[in-house]
Amino acid sequence: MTRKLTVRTIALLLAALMVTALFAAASAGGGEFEPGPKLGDKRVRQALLYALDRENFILAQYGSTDIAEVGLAPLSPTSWAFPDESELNPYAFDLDKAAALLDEAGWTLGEDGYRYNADGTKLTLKWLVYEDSPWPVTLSSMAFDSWKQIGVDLVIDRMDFNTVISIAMETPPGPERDFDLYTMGFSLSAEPDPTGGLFDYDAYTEGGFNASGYYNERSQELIKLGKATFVQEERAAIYKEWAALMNEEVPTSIVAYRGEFWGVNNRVSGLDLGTYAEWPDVIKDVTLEGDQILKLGEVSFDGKFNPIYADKVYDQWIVRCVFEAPVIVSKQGEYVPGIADFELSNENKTYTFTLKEGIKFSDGEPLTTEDFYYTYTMIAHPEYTGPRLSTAMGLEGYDEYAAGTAETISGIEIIDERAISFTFKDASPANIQEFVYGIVPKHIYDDGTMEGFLANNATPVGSGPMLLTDYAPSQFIMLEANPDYWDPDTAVKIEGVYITMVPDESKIAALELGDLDFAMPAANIDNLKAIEAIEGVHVTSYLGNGYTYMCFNTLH
Amino acid sequence: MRTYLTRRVLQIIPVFLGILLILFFLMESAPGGPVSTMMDPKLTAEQKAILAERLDPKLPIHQKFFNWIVSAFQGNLGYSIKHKRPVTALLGDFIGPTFILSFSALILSMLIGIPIGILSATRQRSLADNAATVFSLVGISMPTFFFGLLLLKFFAVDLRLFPLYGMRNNLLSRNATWLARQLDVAWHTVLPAVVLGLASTASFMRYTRSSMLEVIRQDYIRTARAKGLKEKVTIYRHALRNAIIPIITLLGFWIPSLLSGAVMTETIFAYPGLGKISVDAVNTRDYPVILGVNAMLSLLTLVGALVSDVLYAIADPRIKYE
Repeated sequence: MTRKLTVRTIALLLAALMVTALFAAASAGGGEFEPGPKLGDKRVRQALLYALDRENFILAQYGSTDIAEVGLAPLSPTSWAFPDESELNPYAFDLDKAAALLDEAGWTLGEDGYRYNADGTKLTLKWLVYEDSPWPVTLSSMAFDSWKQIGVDLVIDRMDFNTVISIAMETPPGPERDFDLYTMGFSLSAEPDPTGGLFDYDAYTEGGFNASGYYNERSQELIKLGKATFVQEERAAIYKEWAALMNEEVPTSIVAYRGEFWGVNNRVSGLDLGTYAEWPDVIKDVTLEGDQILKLGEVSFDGKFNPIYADKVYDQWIVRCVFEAPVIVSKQGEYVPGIADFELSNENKTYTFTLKEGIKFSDGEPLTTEDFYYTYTMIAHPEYTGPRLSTAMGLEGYDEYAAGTAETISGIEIIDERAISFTFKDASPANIQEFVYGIVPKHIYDDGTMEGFLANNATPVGSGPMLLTDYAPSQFIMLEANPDYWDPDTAVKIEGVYITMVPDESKIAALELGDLDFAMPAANIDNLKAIEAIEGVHVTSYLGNGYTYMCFNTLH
Repeated sequence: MRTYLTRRVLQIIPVFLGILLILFFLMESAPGGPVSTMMDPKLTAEQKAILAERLDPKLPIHQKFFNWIVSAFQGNLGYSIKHKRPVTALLGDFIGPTFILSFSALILSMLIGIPIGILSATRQRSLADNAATVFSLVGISMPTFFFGLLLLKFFAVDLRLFPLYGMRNNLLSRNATWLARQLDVAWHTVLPAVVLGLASTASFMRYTRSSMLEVIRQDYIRTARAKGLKEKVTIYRHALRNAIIPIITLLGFWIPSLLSGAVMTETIFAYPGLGKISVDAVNTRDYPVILGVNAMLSLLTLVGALVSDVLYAIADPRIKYE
């Protein structure tokens, strides 16, 4: 056994090395564009960070450094891939250092108090600020004042969220993109792979996610290396190096990691909230004093209670209670078997899933690989418009299926009633995250059309530990324990969860009145103190899995 | 009257089409699109382009406009991008609560505004009149969100007389009788209706007051008084009937503005109406919903204007349309 493992590891390492060499050769060409004189210079970017007092920003916005932390690197500090904090530069507020860096970069102070370079260009920066949430307004106003002190002329351009995206990401790439900076929030998954994200040069395209235009050969190499091995320790080492590199280069700076806190009534025990906590695990072990229905207050649901369509976090909570997925995320942020065990083969391109025994939908029908097959084929449907399109497109045979030259997707193969295999075009440890979406019952959802499939969105039926028994849009959702749940070990212990739409302003009052058992108000110190002051209610807090960032247009 | 009506109804059609055309043009020129907010870095640019084409096919604007009109006549307003439901079904879900809220607010503001308006006109420059004038000024200028939060603080949190949010408490009323459930809705509607009705109460008051003041200076009122009619009869039977005419015509215009004005109130009280989904639709560029809501509101406005003209003729026999 041990020997076999070692042989496999060596083979893997060899394969990784080969892949690396290949990619290194392929990417030797470098970035397509020349870095600009302003933000293309690392020293200017660093200077701007040194001259921005982010701790003070956190105090101004959230009231306390207990609620948000200064950002360091583009991974969650709770991730297994996050580097040692002592190796990272926090860019502590230091105006002298900022001024020295700008001098070094050739931007000297003019008579009017602003900096100019040798060509006589003024150091003017344009920041796109959206007003849909308050923090970008706070941060940019603070930057305006403190950057002026080091001679930077900041122009703040206010607009709505959608407009920022259309300027920064949806215009053709190149120096013509009309912005120098923008800020936004970003949610992470448990997978640290940054492919396609803010820092991947391959995502610097029209409509791509990377808006900065920053190219770094080592960074691109590391992103590819991270996908070439399936051994977590090796991957951790790669991402640690990558995160430290991004902390040094700051093409996009991580502004802050935000905490989340909940007010929880003392009659509730066993509520399991945390960075990677997912429903229904959060409420699985809950026991209640008094009435057996847990009451939650939340803001809004889109009402797409469908595993392959839900894109709002709150919709996903419901989906996870009603449906079950082949793969789930553990509390440590790792992908582990859900209702199916999986095995890798075919040079890590093929996942073979074996469904656990005895799984049945809430209407009594067994869950089989037919249902699994149906759910994942719906993602490849030509009329599919949900957020999971990338899942289907990575599969072998998708292109032929989409083009209409093949009847089925060759990459999905039903082996028997309990075993099914999925083959991807490219091997990647990140592929596993495509299987965290629940399985729908084919016999209920399939009427041959996409509209028929979507018609079940408000009345979902799945195999999960809870049933959605009542729902009124923008009013409430009633989840009740599934009495015939197939797995008694993981069944919920309470009768149900009643979720009402409560505006942020009323959550604390509702907690105080006992209308709600738990709720998450806007994260700021006043709300935290208000909850702490309520008798019979306590606070549960943790670091959210995401960050706020500031993107620099490095071609400017 | 009949020819007038026919002409007015026919006039609505080109005006409505014009409004729709402007709406289409505005949406076309707004930056961003429905795919922009799908912030999934796993989606490549190519995948986003495929989604964009499926969600909002690139067609010339006149083609889009024509397609929309044709399917709208067949009762199909398209499919919401964000909610993945037909827009008609979505409107059906949310118009009910908005209508209940707006209608309650309208009734409430008439019941309060008109009598006070009469009172302050008949006792012009009295203490009551001055108080009413000050109240109406405050009512018109008070920001909705502030007044709403103030009411919530006093009546829901401190006194616990009314609920904090929502339109019903389904947990308590699951096994309740039909009547109890309706009463629960009414109880939830009191505070939002007061907030929504505040501004219109104040305007009803002012309109009634000025219209009444004008009427009681007329000769026939002096005649009525001179022949010894009781003051009550003079005011309520003779003066009021004429003073109320301009108020009736206002009603037609009030209905659409109440529907669209409910956005803020609905947000504060988490009242499940059209307001929130319309704002969300704009933020996420959910074009079919934006169009559906605005088309409905503009149609209501046009019909409201027509209704008020007709009401005018009915209330005032002196007015004749040719």
